[in-house]
Amino acid sequence: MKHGTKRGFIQLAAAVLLNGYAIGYRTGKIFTGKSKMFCVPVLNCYSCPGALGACPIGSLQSVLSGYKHRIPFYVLGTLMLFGIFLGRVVCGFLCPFGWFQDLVHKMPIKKITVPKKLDKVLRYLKYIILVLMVLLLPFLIRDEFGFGTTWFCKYICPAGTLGAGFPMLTLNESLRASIGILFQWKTFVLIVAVILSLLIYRPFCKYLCPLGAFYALFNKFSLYRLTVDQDQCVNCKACERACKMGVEVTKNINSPECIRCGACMDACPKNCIHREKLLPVDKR
Amino acid sequence: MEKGKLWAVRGAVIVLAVGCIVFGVMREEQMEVLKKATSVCLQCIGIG
Repeated sequence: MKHGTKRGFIQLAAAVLLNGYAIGYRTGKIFTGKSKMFCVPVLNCYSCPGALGACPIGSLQSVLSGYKHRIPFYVLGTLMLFGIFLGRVVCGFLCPFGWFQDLVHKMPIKKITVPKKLDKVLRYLKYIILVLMVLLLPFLIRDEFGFGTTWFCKYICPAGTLGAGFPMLTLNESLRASIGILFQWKTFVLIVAVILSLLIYRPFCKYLCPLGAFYALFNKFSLYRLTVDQDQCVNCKACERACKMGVEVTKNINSPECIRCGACMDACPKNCIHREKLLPVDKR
Repeated sequence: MEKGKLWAVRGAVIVLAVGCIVFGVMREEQMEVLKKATSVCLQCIGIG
């Protein structure tokens, strides 16, 4: 089975499992069980009616912005474990919002190519969002009671708007009464993300996702790495043409931008792109 | 990157990660996460 097909099934399964509290979609009440003390590896709003775990980016900001003024060691450690084991496999295989963008991009609408120079600069934006909106602003800016704000969740996260905002507001009349300019802004951000996903492959993952930025730091070192068999490679560049994340596959296959989708593996006529063996006896 | 260096980095990150988790659990940070995750986040859903 091609990586693309297998990946689709895994993405579907991940989205269903991570948001498996089906009752929540009927009652409009979120899950309050103990599993929510564990962070899931993906961007998945904990206010989604079906969410069974905690969003790591939301959790980071929550602890940082809390009145106790604390460094979130527990969440950071969890993210580091996900990062070192999987790197951006999380983005390519597990993230529901990544899957959503994949599905939207499949619509038969003419695609656009972002100019290389602009694309290169925009790729740094997600790191700025990670540092500024996820880490610094929640920690530093406080109200008169000593509480901060979850800046990324509040002003940007389209996954929260899609997975939590719309369902919760649809199911809860009391919440609908409080809709104001913030919701309009977040809806606008979501609409822009959807339109861009129609035209560009995974624009949120490439340019805005702070979690993708975090995991990108681990791609070079994670236990999941790819390798190109240079003896077999004929430099046809089929892999690079197939790569929708713009990775120079033959030069830097473990690039921070690679989401491990496997498109390069499927495209390679010589079958020379593989998962890197962990141990000498690994017979993959 | 050499295999030896790669495994050294991986080992260091895993040890650091586990250390952070243990330290965080000792400070009961997971309960802070639970508390936040089990109440509707009005900021996340766009209310305020």
